[in-house]
Amino acid sequence: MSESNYREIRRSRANDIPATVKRIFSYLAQYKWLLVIVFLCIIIEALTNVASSYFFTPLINDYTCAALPLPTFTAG
Amino acid sequence: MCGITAAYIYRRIMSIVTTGTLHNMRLDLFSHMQDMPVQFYDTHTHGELMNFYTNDIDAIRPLIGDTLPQMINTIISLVGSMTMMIILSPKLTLITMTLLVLVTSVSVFVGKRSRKYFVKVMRTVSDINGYVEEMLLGQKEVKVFSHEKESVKAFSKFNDETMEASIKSNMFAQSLMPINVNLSYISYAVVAVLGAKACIDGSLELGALASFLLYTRQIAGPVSGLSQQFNGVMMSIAGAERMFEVMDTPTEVDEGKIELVNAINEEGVLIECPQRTGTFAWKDPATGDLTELKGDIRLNDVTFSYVPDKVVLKDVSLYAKPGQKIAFVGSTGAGKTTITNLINRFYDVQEGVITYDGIPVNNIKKSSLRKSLGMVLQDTNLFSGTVMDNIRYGNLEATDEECIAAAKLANADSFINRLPDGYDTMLTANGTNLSQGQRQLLNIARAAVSNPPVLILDEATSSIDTHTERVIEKGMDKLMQGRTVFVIAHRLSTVRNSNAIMVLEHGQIVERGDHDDLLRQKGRYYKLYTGAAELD
Repeated sequence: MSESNYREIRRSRANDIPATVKRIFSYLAQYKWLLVIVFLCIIIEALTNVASSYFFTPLINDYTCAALPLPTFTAG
Repeated sequence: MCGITAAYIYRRIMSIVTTGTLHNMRLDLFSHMQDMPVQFYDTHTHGELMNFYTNDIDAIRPLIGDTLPQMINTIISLVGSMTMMIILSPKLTLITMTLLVLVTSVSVFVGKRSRKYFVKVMRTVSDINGYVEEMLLGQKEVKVFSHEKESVKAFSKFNDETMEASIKSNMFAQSLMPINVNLSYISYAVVAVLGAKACIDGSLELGALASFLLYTRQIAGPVSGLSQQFNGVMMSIAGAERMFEVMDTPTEVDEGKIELVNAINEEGVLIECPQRTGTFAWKDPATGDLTELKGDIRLNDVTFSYVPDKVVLKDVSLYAKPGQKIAFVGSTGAGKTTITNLINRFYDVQEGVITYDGIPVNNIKKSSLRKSLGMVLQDTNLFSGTVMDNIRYGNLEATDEECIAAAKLANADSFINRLPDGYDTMLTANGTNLSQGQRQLLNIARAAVSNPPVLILDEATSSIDTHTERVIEKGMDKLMQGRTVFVIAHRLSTVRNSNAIMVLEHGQIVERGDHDDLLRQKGRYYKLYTGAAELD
């Protein structure tokens, strides 16, 4: 079959990202309880990361800065 | 520790979810394709169809397994980090958010540009697969007609298009990560400078600035991570779109209600029964009436065209009484195979009616109709499995003894017994370890074991030498006894003992009668038989 003939039988395809994603999710729906566990685990992981970053605020303010004499900054 | 455990658990679960989802998608796609009309397979190459099961479905894996959890993680991290940042310094948060909007806008802009090229990449890869498959199957033809150069030229065109689309899609997608990373560094530097100034002013504590800067990095990380997976996401969506499009293609319509059932004849009265009796009946579920399956097929003023305005059959009328052998003779494209395609409802007639034992075939369930028809085609498809399995394919309920009896009927038993493991010999790759004639004998045995009242032989011996044809004809003669048979053959010697021969030209029956009648008419058949004319 020649290249041009080959293309003739091809059909045009519509693109619709939201509909495609929604359909993929419909397949995931049958694992909804497993996905609930996944969701909870992700929340735990994400919040642990958020909390770990806040750890520096009291560490520096209450311990490091309190133990060291702070320099005096003057403008100009 | 808590975060690490949670991450381990969800990754393990996502692996199960991803594999299961792809498994279900493959199953749905395969099931749907089993119900597709013949036209679908006529307009798609094998390579293209295989592509749906390999590239397209596999492309969805990163979207479910990696991107989806990461996206949820990013959203929760963003919300959590933003909340903490607002608590620590609302002013710096506003600046960070402004820069984040800029990063996101760049991602969306580049994404839109690259997506169309990713879709094109998937299509061109599918084109290549289809073309390669055709060229590999037709390699002998390519060599015989010395079309190697043309073949390479056409392939190069597909290949060039794939390369061009890949370059463009990657050019956009791969520029995304460096842009995002650099924008996040700028954001970090701006926040660091302004935060340091706030510390000097005394409006922000040093500890708060340290945490704030960590949050700035924490936001940039997942956003950059998502942009890194951008290629995969676009490929996933393009693959899913192609696969779902096939799954949305309408399946074969079947409005038929009448079913084929096992029956028993008790003193002239047909009674439905669950076990196989060798007698079948058509059952109308609405009334419960049973009509004995005899094999009486009639075409009344049938007109048909595959595409509008190009009539393939015009006002064709014929009948085949139970046990009669009807032959179709004519040039290629005269409409011989189309008639058989209409009888088994691969296509539906546009005008006129085809009846089977007095029932319009459109009222009969396609599965029941096809169960009552046996077909022996020129091209034999054997499946991976033993010789016995391949014969049993004609009737999955058949016992070993019935399969052997069918093989004996088809004259296949002697050659099967000479095979290394007899009926247990494994056949692979469409039975390439057998000759064309042996494959055809197995095909006849397969038709025999299904024991259909109506048989269609479409050029069954066309690709076989005359010596093998004689062996096969003996098998076919036994198979044809007591059945309604439609024969399509180019060799007139194979149709001369038919009850009626239909000579078709341009979709119309131009002559009909038995062999002797047609010779007396001294028309088209006479010319063909005497060699005064040849079939195209």
